[in-house]
Amino acid sequence: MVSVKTPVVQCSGLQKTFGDRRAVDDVGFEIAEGETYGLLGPNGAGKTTTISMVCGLLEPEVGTTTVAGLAMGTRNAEAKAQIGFVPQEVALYPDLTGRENLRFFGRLQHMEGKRLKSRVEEVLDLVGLVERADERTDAYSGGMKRRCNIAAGLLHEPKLLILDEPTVGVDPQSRHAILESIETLGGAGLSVLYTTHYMEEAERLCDRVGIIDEGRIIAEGTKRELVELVGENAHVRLTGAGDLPGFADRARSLAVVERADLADGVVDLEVSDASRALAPIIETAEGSALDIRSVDVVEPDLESVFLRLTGKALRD
Amino acid sequence: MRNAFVIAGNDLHRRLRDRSVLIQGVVGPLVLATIISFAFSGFDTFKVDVALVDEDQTVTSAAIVDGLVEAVNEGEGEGLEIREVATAAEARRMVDDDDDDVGGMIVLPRGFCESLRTEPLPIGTVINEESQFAGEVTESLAGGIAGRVDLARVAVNTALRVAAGEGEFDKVADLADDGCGPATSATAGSGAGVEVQPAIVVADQSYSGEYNAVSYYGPGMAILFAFFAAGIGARSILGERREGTLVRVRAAPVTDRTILFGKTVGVATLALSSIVIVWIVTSLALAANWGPIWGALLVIVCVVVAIAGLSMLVTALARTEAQADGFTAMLALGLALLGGSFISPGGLPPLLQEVSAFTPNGMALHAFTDLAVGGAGLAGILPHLAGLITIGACSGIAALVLLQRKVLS
Repeated sequence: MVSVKTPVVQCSGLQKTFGDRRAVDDVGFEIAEGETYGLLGPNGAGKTTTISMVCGLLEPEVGTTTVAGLAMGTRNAEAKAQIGFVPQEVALYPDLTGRENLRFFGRLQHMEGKRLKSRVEEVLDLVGLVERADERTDAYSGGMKRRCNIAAGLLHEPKLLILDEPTVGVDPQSRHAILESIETLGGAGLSVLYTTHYMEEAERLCDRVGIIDEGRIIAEGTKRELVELVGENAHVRLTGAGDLPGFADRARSLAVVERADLADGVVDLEVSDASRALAPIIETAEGSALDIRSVDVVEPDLESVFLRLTGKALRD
Repeated sequence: MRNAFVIAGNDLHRRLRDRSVLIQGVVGPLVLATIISFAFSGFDTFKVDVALVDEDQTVTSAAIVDGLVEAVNEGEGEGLEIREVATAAEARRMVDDDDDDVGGMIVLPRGFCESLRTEPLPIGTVINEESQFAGEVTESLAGGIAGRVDLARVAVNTALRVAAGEGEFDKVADLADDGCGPATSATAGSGAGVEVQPAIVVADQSYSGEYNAVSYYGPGMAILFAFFAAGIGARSILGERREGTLVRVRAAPVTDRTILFGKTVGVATLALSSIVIVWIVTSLALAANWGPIWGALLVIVCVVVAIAGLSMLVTALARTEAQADGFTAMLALGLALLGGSFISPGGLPPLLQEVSAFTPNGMALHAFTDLAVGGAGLAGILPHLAGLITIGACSGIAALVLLQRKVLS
């Protein structure tokens, strides 16, 4: 949980329409200093359009954004300078080396001389590309391109790093490296706005999450707050040999169990607090002469929150 | 503004790395200009003879003829010769008769000197349409004479006004009148006892007479290939949109106008470098005459403005890089054909000759020829320069508006 700090980003009432389709409708959120905020939603939910307005690529029809106290707009260079933007697609010149790419993007951020040189080396080191920095980026693997893509957004030491689905199409090893580096940056006090449709990434990285669907933020908070908001419970799933129907009946009478179902040889027990419910459930199973084969505790996640809120899965 | 040059520098860096600009902007025009020059004329045999007829037979017209003959025929250059001919009929016969190798004729009409007091009579020209460059060279020589005559008129009128203020009007007016006396009295002295010097002196003009095929095809090919070099630069904005780098550049502390300005600077630099290199190489290695350095530079800069504007417009109208390439090729070749990069406009049908005058290629080639052959000054090439700048400004503004709507929104 993040303590209350000065918001680095404040946006409210953002709205954008493309043709007849309203891509973003009355979106607003705040990101505190050092906070990692996730925009979680399926493809086409309005995540990229929202961050395009936040970082000054698109003018909203309605609504305002301030970054580090500066009003954001497509013409506001000072506000743009506070942001490091990592686009969804790899945004590197394929015919330039990694180092040349970084030097160019650094110059665009008004960096020169020793400062530029040292920052280029620092970010190359951070993303693990020092050894390959003088190779053209079209010779990089997909993961290396993604890492260099992130490095370009970090060069000028922005107050806010915006990452638009940075792990899409990345191999597991590079994905792990990317998530680790983002965790490091968040831990170092950088504010991060992270969009993803991967529930597990949002859970791992984000202090707070805004769930976005059809252009609107439908819920916002920490994972726990969101779970509580929709009243989602944990599930204990138990398999074993013996009288499974009898065990399910007895388990229903336990105070910690909200519901018990039996299907396909698995007893699914919905519980309000898995840590407190586990011991009485095991005792009841043993009392029912059940030969327990496995016990799985499934905590409620953002996927189930999203499902509960929208009636559809994140990857729909 | 600084970021515009950062963007332009990055574009140039990338273009030089892929070497496409070197091939299309430098190697291409040099090779093609050389081949065409050999094919049409050969360096040793290129020659344009122009017949000059003085029907006015006054001190002034005689001075023009003498000055031109001295400047062109007695200079060190080769390739251009003035032939004094007694009558227009004889000159016409020489132009029509291919055996005489006379590509064009210039006639100073009877009453020419007298007409200078009010509205100068036009200097007549006739060209042999089968002679390469005859039209360009003859028109440039005639244009050069007309330009000098205009300057001289201004000088004489100024002298008369000054003289009027000092009570010497009659004396100076007599001198001016003597300039329109018979050519034989040129050194006989005037009623005022002062030796008559013609008001129009052409011997000190820069008629080098050094004009060969490369002098024409060098600039022609340089302009044609500058379109391709500029096109490579201009389409980079579409490439950056495809590669995704445009989004990142736009997210940096720059405005869309800065990006477009940077791109335009890159495009103009590519075109400028391409033409300047061809200019230097053809001048040093192939003895091409693009005119005096100041004039050639001025024309080059103006034609680059036109090329940059048109290239950006073509890119703005295209949806993809391939489409932009196609549009650029059509535009470059179309303007080259109409403007005289391949065939001198004199060889085109009358309607296309008119159209040719409004193409950047046509304007620039006229300006180069006027500088090299006609000895034109700034005033002489100013209409061409203004035309080029107008083309560049109009197309450039349209391109920037379209690009802002289509590519950057």
